[in-house]
Amino acid sequence: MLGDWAAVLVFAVIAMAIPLSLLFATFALDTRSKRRAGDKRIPFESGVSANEFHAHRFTISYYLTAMLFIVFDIEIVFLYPLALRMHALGMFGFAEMAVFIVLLAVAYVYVWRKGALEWR
Amino acid sequence: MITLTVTTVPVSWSAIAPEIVLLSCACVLLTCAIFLPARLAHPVGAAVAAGAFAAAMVAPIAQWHDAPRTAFDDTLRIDAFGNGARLLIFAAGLLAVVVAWGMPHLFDRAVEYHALLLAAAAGMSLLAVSNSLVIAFIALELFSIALYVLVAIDVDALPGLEGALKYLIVGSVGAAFLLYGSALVYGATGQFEFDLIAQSIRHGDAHGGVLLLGVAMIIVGLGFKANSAPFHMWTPDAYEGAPTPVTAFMSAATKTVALVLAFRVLVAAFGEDSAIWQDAVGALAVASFAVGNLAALRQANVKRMLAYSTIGHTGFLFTAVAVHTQAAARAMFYYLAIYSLMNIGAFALVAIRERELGRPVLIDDFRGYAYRRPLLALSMVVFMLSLAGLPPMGGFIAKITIWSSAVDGGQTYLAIVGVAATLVGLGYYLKIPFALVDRDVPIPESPYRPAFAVTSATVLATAVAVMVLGIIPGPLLDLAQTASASLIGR
Amino acid sequence: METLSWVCLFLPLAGVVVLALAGNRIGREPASWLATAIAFASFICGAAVFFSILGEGESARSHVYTLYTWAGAHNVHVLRVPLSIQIDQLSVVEMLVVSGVGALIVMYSIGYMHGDPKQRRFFAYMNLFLFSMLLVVMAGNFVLLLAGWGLVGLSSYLLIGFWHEQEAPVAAAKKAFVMNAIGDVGIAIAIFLMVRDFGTTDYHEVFTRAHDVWPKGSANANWVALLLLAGAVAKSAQIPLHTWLPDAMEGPTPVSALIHAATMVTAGVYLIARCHVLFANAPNVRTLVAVIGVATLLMAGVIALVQTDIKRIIAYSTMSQIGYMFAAVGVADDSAGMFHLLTHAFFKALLFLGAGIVIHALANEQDVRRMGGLSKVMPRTTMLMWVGTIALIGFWPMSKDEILEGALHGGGTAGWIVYVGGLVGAAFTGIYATRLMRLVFYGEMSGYAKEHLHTGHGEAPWTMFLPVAALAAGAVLVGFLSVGFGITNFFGDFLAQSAPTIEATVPQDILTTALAWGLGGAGALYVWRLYDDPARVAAVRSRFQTMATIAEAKFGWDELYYNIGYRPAVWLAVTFDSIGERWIIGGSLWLARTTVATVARATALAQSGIVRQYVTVLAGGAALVAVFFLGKANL
Repeated sequence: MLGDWAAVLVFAVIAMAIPLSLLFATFALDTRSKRRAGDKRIPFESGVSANEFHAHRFTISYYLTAMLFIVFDIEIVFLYPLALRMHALGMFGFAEMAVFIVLLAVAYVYVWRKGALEWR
Repeated sequence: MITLTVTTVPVSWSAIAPEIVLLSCACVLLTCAIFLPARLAHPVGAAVAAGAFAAAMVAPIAQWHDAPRTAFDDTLRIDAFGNGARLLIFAAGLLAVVVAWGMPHLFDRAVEYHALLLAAAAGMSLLAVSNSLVIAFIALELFSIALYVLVAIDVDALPGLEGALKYLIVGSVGAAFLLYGSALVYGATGQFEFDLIAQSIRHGDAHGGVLLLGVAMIIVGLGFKANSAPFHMWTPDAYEGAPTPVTAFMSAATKTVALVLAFRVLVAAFGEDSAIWQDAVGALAVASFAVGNLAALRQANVKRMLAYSTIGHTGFLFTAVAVHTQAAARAMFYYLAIYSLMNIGAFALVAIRERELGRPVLIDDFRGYAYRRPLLALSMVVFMLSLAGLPPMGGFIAKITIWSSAVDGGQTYLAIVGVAATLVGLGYYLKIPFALVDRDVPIPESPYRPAFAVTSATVLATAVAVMVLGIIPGPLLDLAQTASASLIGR
Repeated sequence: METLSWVCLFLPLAGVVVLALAGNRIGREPASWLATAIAFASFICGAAVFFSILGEGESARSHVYTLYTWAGAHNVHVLRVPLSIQIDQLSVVEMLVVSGVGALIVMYSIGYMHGDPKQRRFFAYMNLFLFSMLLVVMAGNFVLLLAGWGLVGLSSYLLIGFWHEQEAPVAAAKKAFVMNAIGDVGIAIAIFLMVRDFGTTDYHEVFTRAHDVWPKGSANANWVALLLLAGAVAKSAQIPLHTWLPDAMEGPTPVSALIHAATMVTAGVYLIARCHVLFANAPNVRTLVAVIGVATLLMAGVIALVQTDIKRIIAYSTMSQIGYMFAAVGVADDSAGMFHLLTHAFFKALLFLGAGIVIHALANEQDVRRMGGLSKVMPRTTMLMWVGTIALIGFWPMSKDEILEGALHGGGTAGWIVYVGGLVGAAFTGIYATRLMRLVFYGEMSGYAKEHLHTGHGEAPWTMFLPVAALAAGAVLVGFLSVGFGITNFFGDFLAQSAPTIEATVPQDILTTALAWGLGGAGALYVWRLYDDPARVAAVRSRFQTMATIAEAKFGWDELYYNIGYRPAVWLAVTFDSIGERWIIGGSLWLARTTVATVARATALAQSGIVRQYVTVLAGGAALVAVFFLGKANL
C-alpha cells in the first residue's frame, strides 16, 4: 500500500538533501576569509571554471577520464544489489553479473590499449 | 520489510545464438586485435567480422522452417519473419565488410569499424525478433549508438562528424518519442509484450486516449528510424557524411529492422486498431514519396541523392505497412531484400569511384565512365534501373508486388501516389546511366587507382543478383511468403 | 528426347549470344562456320527427335515438356504461362524443315556474304532467326507462339534491312514490320479471348475444350479464327497483307531463301494447321481461308508473268505457292498443305539460291533482261535450277496435285473453287517458271552479262554449290514420301494423328494429275516457243495490254494502301504532332516538369542543415500525428 512507497519518499528526500547540503557547506565551512570573493563565489570550487568559458581551452582528457569513471562506477550500482540477493538470484544472477563484468573488462582492455587512460 | 521474490527466466541459447556470436566476436576484436600492428588489424578484423556474419546466419537458416515460438518469457518471438530480417541484416553486414575492404583509409580504425559493425548488427538482430517494447528499445539503442560512432569513425573528416552529431541529436529525440510512447502504452495496457498488449486492448482494459497517444509516439519513433518524412531531416547529412561502407550498411540494415519492427508492433500489438493508424502510416508514406523523390531531383552529390532516394523508398515500404495484409508483408520482404542488394551495390560503386578520385563523388564524375570501366558501369545501370523500378530488374517486381497488395488491400491511393513517385524518380535515377555513356568527356590524365578485385566482384555479383531475382523472382517470393506467413496467419 | 528438343531450340540462341559477345574477337570466317555448325547441330538434334517419335506408338506421339514456370504460381487465379514446348508430328516436321533447310542456307551464306564488312552480324541474325522460327513451331502455348512470332518478325526486319546504308532495304524492312505487326495484333487479341474464356493458353487445354467453350459457328469461334487468320495472312503474305513480300527481296538472297521462301512465310500455314480445331469450329472462316488462298495464288501468278527482277519473279511465285497451301488448309486437307510446305521449302530455297549464284556471278544484277545464255557458262547451276523449276511446275514432287485431289474429294463450294483456281494457277506456274529459265539461261547472252561474266568465273564456290545440290537432292527425294495413287502416303499417315487429312481415290488422283501436268506442261511449252521470237512476245503483250498493265501495277494494292492507309495516317500524325503533341502533350509535360522542378527546389531548400530546425520539423510532424490520432479517438 502507501507504506510501500515510503521508501521512495525517503529516497527522494535524501537525493535532494545531498546537493543542497553540499551547497550550504561551501559557505558554512568557509574558514579562511570572511570576504566572499573570487573562487568562493562560484558554486563549485573544483573542476572547470563556470565563468571563464571563453577564456581558455581545456583538455579533452578531463572529460574522457570523467566519462570512463562513470562507466566503471555503474558497475557498483549493480554489484551491491547482487551481493545482497545472491542466494535468491543463484547461478543465473552470478552468470549475468559475470557477463557484465567481462564486458566491462573488454572495454577496459580496449581503453587501456588505446591510451585513453594516459593524461595528455 | 519489503520482500522480493526473484524469478529467473529460462535461457534459450538458440534464440539468441546470432547475437552471442556477433557480440563475442566483437569482444574478441576489441581485446585481441587491438594488440596487432595496424598492417594486420584490417585483414584480421575483416576476417573475424566476415566469419561472424557467416556464422550468425547458421541459426536463422537452421530455424527457418520451425514454427514460431517465444523465448525469454515472451520477450522474444523467433519466427521466419524475424529470421528473414536477420539474414538480410547479416548479408548487409557481410557486404559492408567487403565494401570497406576497398577503402584503405579506414585501415587505422579497422578494429573499431568491424567491432562496431558487429555490435550494430547484433542490436538489429535482437530487434528483429523482439516481442516486447522494452527489448525493442534496448536493441534499438544498442545499434543506434554503434551507428552514431560508425558515422563519425573517420574522425578526420568534418562531414562525418557533422553528420554523426546531427544523427545523434535528432536520433535522441526520435528515441525519446519511442520510449515515451512505449511508456504510455504500458500505462494504458499494463503490458510490454506485443501479444499481451493486443490481448489487453481486445478485452477493453486499455485507456483510449493514453493508448492512442502512445501509438502515435511509437509511430513517430519508427518513422524516424525508417527515414520517413517528416522525420527524415537527419538522413541526407548522416548518409552523405558517413564513410560509404557505413552508409551502405545503414541504408540497408537500418531500414530492414525499422520496417520489420514497424510491422511487428503495429500488426501484432495494435492490429485491432488498424483503422486508426493505417491512415497515419499512409500519410507518412505519401510524405516520404513526395519529399524523397522531389528533393533527390536537385542533388549533385551521388550519396546525397541516394539518401533522398532512400526516403522515397520508405514510401513504398510504409505502403506495405499501411496495407498490412499477408501479401503486403510478402511484398515488403521481397522489397527489402532487393532494396538492400541494389542499395549496397550502388554505394559500393560510389566507394570505388571515391577511392579513384579521392573526394566525394558527384553525378558528373560518372560521365564517360562506361568507356573506362564497362562492367562496373553496366552494374551501375542495373542498380539505377532497379532503383527506378524498371523491368527486368528486381526493383520492378518489388514495386509491382507492393502495388498489387495495396490495390487488393483497399489502399489504391497509395499505389497511385507510388506510380507518380516512380515517374518523378526516373528524373534522377536515369541521370547516372545517361552520364555513364557520355562520350564528350575526355579521359582524365591523372592515373586512377583500380578498385580491389573483391569489391568489384561483389558489385558485379550484386548486379547479377538484382537482375536474376527480377527475372526469376519465384524462389525469393517463396521465402518472403514463408516469412510473412509466420507473422500473419491470413 | 526432352533434352534433345530443348538443345535443338536453344542451340541457335546460344550461337547468337556467343557471336554477339565475341564481336571483333572472332574472325569473319570462323564466325560464319560457327553459325553453320550450330545450325547443323540443331538439325541433328531435330532429326534425332524425329526418329525417336517414329519409334513410338502412333497414339503417343504428342509430348509437352515444361522447362520452367514463371512466378505467379503462388496465386491460383493468376494466368500461368510456362516455358513449355509441344513436340508432335506437326512440330517435328517443321523443326526438320526449319533447321535442315536453314542449315543449308546458312552454309550457302558463307560464300555469298564473303567479304561483307558486317558478315559476323549477318550470321548472328541468321541464328537469331532460326531460334525464333524454332520457337514458333515448338511452342507449347499461344503466348510462347506469339513471342516466337514477334521475334521472327524482328529478325526478318533486321535481315531485310541488313544493308541499311541504302534507302530501299530500310523502307522494305519497315513495310514488312508494319504489315506483320497488324497480324501480331490479331493473334494477341485472340490470346486475350482465350485467357478470358479458358484461363490458359496451353495448346492442349484450349484445343480439347474448344468445342465446349466456343460451340461450332458461334461468334467467339468465328472471331478467334478470324483473328488468328489475320496473323497467318500477314506472315504468309496473302491478300490483303501481301505487299511487303516482293519489297523484302531487297535483303541478301540467302535471307530471301530462308525467310521469304522456306520457313517464315509458311508459318501462317503452320498456324492454321496447328489450330485446325479452332478453324473446324468456324466453317465460314475456313472457307475464307480457301478463298484467300485461291485469290492470292491466281493474282500472284499473273503478276509473276510480267516481272523482270529475277528475285521478284520467285517472290511472287512463293506468294502463289503459299496460296496453294492456304487453299489446302482451307478445305481441311492440312497434311496436303504441310506436304506442299515441305516440298516448297526445298525447291523454293533451291530456286532462290540458284538465282543467288547467278546474281553473285553477274555482280549483283537482278534484271532477267540483262541475262541470257548462262547455261553455257554455268551448266551445273542450270541443271539444278531445272530440278527446282520442274518441282515448281508440279511434275515432281506431286504435292500440288495432292492439294487439288483433296479439294476434289472434299467437294463443296470451297473444294470446287480450289480445284478450278488451282488448275488455272498451274498453267500460270508453268508459264512464269519456264519464262524465267528461258530468259536467264538460254537465248542470246546480253551485253551486260558478257561484260561482267569472266571466263571460268561462272560457277560458285563449293560452299555455295553444295547446299544447292543438297536442296535439289532433297526436293527430288522428298517427293517419294507421298506419291499418291495408293503407292506411298507416308507423310499423310504420319501427320494424320495431329492434322486432318483427306485421302482421295485413285481415279481422282489420276484425273487431277493428268489435268495439272497437262496444263502446267502446256504453259511451259508455250512460253518456251514464244520467246524464240521477240516479235511474238510483243504481239502477245499488246493483245493482253490491259491485263499486263494491271499486273505490272501489282493490281494497285500499293496505291490503295498509300491512299487509304499511309496518307490518312500521315495526315493524322502531322495534325496530332502540330496540335496534340506540341500543345496538349508538350504543354502538359512542360507544366508538369516546371511544377515538379519548382516544388523540388523548395523541398531541397527546406533542408537547411541546421539541427535546431530538424528537430522543429520532427516535433511538428509528431504533433500532427498526435493530433491525427486524438482526432480519431473523438476526444
